[in-house]
Amino acid sequence: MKPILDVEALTRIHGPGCPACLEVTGPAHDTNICRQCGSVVAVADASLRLHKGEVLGIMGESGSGKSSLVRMLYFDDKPTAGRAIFHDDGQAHELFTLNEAQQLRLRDTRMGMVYQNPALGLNFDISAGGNIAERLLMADELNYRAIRAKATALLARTEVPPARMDELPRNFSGGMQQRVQIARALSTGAPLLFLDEVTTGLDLSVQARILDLIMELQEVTGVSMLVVTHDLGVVRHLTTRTIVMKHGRIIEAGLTDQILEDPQAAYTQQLVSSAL
Amino acid sequence: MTDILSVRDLAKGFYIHDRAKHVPAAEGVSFDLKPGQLAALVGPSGAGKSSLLKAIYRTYVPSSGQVLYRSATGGIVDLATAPETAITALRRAEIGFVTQFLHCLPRLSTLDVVARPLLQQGVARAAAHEKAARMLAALAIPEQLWDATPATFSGGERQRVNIARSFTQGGRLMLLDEPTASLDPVSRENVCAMIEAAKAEGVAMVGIFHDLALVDRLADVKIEVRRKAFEDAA
Repeated sequence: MKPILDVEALTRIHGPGCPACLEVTGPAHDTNICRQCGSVVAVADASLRLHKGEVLGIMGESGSGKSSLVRMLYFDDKPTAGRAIFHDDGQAHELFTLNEAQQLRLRDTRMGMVYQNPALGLNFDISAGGNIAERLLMADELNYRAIRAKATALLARTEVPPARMDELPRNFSGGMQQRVQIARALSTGAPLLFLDEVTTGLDLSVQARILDLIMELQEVTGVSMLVVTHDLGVVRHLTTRTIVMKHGRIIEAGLTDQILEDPQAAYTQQLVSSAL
Repeated sequence: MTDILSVRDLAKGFYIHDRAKHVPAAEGVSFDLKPGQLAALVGPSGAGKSSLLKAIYRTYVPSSGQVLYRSATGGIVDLATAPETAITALRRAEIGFVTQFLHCLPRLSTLDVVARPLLQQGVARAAAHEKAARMLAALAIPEQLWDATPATFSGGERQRVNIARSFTQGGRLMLLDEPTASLDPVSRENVCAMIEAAKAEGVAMVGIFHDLALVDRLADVKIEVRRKAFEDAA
């Protein structure tokens, strides 16, 4: 299996930071706040590898740093230290040494993100179709008819009725907004997708259909995905490998069935046994 | 013929952090298996048979020992320590597991559940469905049920879907955890015939059967499993 993303010792500290930050935080100290300088260590020393066509889960409770990690990879936030290499089409992009224009270019055309909150991933002031058109335009698709046809096809594929493509997504239900977000993320055929708690807060039946949709699209397109979730069911159904985070650290990584059935770390045992 | 699987002194125990307690499940298990052979793990309930099977499949992390598997390419892989990506690839193409209970995606039709591993291997939809249909028919699942989800099935039907799925996927090594436990005599006979056919094709198997007559009929190797350390501790 070939790697598509290599993350090495990624660290994000909010606050002034001091030499003690990494030593006095983490699961062993049961905190991510540095007692020397008061900084919050959101992510510390996180390394992982994602392979082509693989779905990797990132599990942990709120505040464990899982969202912070993927947001840095999608350039929503800048790391304090560490690096990440995106192997795309024979090219290796070292993500955090690229200039801003290069980063935006990758983000707009070669990566996709689906946020828990659709307001972050969609422009609520333009139509559902317009949201997809916007991303296609950024990827240099300039023909109006081609854009319209692609947007229609994408929305149909994510089960958004084409009749509603000219409506504003703010008028859609949560589940439908999520579908538009997924359609938008997929529109440029990006090989790398980040999903950040995409089913959290949705009705159970809607959650199930969104998961089915994601799985089907993954199988058809072979897109690689990092799936952030605190939901064990999502991890079980969607991913083959899982990493577990706590207080900004990766504390355990393994095959998903192994993580769920034979967790090694104390925290993971607790997490898995807390499932209802 | 060379061995396809050599299990060397395999042990599995659990450390439960919550209670600061080590629970041994099985230890000191060694055996060799050639293509077309079936090894039966025998021993009382709670002796650690399922744990061993899961340790071979790496759902459980082995505590010590080796699980040497000769892959289709001829190389030897220690399943106990191989990288996760190697395990995933082997599970997809070579090593199957028939679990005690059917775990499948909710909402999928029975035909899709059974065909899914083939689709994931890249087999075309029509061909995958055809093979899945053949297996379901061989296990006497009525055709009217094929487009329903197995979630609505009886225990015995679910178990047969489970077996159909694993045998549709095929592979070179199959792990069977009580595949006949909840089956009526006719279905059990169908499953035995399927196991014998797979053996004849050279598939190696490690299995747990609560019915000792089945062990005598199907097994080439019998491995006694005892929870030794636990008894010693008690």
